[in-house]
Amino acid sequence: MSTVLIIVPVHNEARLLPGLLPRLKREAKKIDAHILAINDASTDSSLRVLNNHKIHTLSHSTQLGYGSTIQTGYKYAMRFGYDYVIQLDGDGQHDPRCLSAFLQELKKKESDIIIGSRYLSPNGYPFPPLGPLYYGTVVRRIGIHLFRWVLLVLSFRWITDPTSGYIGFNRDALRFVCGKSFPFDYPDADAILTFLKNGLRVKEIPVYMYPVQKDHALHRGCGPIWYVIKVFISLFIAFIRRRENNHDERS
Amino acid sequence: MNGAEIPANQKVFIIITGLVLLCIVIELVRRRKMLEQYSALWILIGVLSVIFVWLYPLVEWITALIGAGWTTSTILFGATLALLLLNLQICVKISEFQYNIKDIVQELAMLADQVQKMQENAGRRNRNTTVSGTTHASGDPDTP
Repeated sequence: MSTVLIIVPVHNEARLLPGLLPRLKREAKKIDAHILAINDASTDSSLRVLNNHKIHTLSHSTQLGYGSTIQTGYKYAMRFGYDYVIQLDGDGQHDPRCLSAFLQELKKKESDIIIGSRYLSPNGYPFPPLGPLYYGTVVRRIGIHLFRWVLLVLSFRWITDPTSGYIGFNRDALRFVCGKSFPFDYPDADAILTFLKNGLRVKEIPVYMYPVQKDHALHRGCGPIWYVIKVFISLFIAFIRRRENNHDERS
Repeated sequence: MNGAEIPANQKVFIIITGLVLLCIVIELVRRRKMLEQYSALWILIGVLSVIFVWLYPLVEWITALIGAGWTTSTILFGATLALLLLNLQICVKISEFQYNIKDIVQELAMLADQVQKMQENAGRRNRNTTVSGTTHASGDPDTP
């Protein structure tokens, strides 16, 4: 029985999934990992695409949002005894070839959470990127830079990619993110601050991320500006919240 | 209207409004259209509106205490504060519902997945039984 679960949150990614899934299946087989897609009430043919590629899928009956969707995956992993979880986006932005690097780091047992950073140099990787790499729009990069400094002030940790959705967890971290402390509305830099505040060990590794054409509300118009404001509010709330006890019972 | 009595017709109007509000709220709770926990603030508003009409010197005292220029300002401030508190109560409750709905939908997704697996397993066992013509021990296709 595999001890590694790969979580892929999916919401209306029918156009982009076919490019990701064959590669993901190949890489998952190399590390003996199961793949679980969580379909967040997609209204396009995402579910059909997942079924055609024979991906095990949980489906939400109503749209809950990104944070709740990945938390469903965490809860599944906890319930069915997985030791490690690696999450990556269903839009093909994250290179599945980096999955083994996550597992390697997690198995060292030096960290509870491994964050894939697009801003770290992947000199040690035996494979080159598949295409031009994505570092974010101008507004997003400014936002990320601000988040780095705020995180540094609040947690004394320099996190190069605080908005990365390419993350690996061990079971201790899983126990924590299944609880009420996980910011399920839209986990971002505030999630990292919450992890650090609650004593979880966080490490970054380099990963490849590619640009994808998506029509997301956060990527158009005033969306990026609102996103930055929202994350700052969330960071402040995460900073003043009490430390939780729900991850202290370690197996 | 600082220092002066409220005209009688105004008193009557305020009292009637307060009592009507109280009756509506109590009726909604009685018919289970509103939970008791949400009626508390409404009942308080209704009761206070009646009390302040009769205890107008109390309104004047509060006005002096908070530094408002007019008793009408005090009453308006009190009404605004009451509405803010009601909104706050609703926001807290909505947040609680959002947590609960999230947990329910997540649980539902996992249960639906388990049911599907059970159905698939049951279907496989039925097919095994049909193909061999005999009934095997559960889960053991090699049992004669």
